[in-house]
Amino acid sequence: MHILVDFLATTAVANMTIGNLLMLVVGMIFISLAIRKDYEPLLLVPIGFGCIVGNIPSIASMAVGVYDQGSVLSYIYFGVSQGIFPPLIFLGIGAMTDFSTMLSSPRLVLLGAAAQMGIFLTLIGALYLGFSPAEAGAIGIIGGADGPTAIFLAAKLAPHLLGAIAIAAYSYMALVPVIQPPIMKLLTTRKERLIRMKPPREVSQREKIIFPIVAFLICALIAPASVGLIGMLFFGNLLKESTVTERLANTARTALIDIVTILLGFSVGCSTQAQTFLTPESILIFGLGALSFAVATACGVLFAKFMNLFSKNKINPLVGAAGVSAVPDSARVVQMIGQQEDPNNYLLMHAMAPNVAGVIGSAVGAGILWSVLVG
Amino acid sequence: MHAISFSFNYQNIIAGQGFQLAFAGMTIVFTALVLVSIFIALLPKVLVVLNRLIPEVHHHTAAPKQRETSDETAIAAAIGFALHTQQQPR
Repeated sequence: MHILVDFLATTAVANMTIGNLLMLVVGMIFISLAIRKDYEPLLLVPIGFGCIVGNIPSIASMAVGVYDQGSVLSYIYFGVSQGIFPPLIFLGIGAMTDFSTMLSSPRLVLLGAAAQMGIFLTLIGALYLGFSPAEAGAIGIIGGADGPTAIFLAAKLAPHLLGAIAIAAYSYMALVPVIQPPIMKLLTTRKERLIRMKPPREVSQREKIIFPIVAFLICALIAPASVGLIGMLFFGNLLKESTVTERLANTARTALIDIVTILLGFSVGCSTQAQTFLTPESILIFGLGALSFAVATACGVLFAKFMNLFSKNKINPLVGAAGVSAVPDSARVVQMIGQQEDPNNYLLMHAMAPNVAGVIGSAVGAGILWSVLVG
Repeated sequence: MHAISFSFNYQNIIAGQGFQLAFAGMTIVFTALVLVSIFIALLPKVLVVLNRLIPEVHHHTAAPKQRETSDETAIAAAIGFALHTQQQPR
């Protein structure tokens, strides 16, 4: 009989806390949002189910959870905690990204740079709230609006906040169509929103081949800590644009990125155990995450208006909001807001330029923060 | 996980060198992307010279892009529908 009693003490039911129950509900909500509302399903289904798996409590002597040495989940989580998965995702992103709109309008790259202000102003906000510099850096990168970059930097600087930072980053990326429009309309006049831009020029294949090599060298020589992310991004792009490695590019943007997304999403979800996720810091992180997106949007739009003071060919300031590198959602938002004023104003391709430049900018920003704040 | 106590204080920013970090970080990000932007702007001019020195070749391993059959069928159907609609008496 005592065996049965001892066994009952090891069940998850006996060890369940209110926090675990709450996180089980959160996981189910994520899955529900993904399936019913089509809310970033490729991320929220793995994260949501991982959340459910990670919040089934086990006894201390059993290595089951993601933080337990030697457990299966810990081996999968190794790819997150050691920063392996994010560069592999960047390889796939590079293999599916078309930089030609950026190549045809180099000045729009600066809008991608301006939007990275969201990272550093959020860092200041996090310091003000009492986070350590390393934690503030990991929280600030949410403003880069790049999931893999946020996970990469959080794993390096503040692994205990990784769950909250990852959930915040991906949640706000999905909320870009909600967060950005009011800010874009507040900071622009109707006349500005009606600006039509010159169509982008044709870009030669040779430009598309040389660009990833030289751009990588520029970014890596300035911020070598970003080599992992930037290197894989441009390597993937070269695989695509060289036209002689189409098989590899196809694998990178399909099977490889899908496998890594499954493992990364699931293990990040498993890491959101109630004991580490349901804390006051998580609430602050979510608040700072919203602020970071808003600030990044505002900085991109305002910088576009600033550039117009010196440009004969005006930039539609809405395009600045696409510097928030939630590709391609923020570019789609720009298109939508522009078409609300003028249905024949097609801003999507123009917006893709700062959109992809923002990916590069956020990866460089992550490299800078890692090199300065590590240790 | 270590315990964190919150103290909302401007001095936290000073102690963490927040302003210096933000300024340096933005400067470096801007520098990198300005250099990329300048490179992109100069690239067409560089290619004019490069194309003369090293003419482009077409690799046999690079398969020509082929539209998928399903695309052609769908496009043909759409054109057919549009023409049919146009030709219908009002």
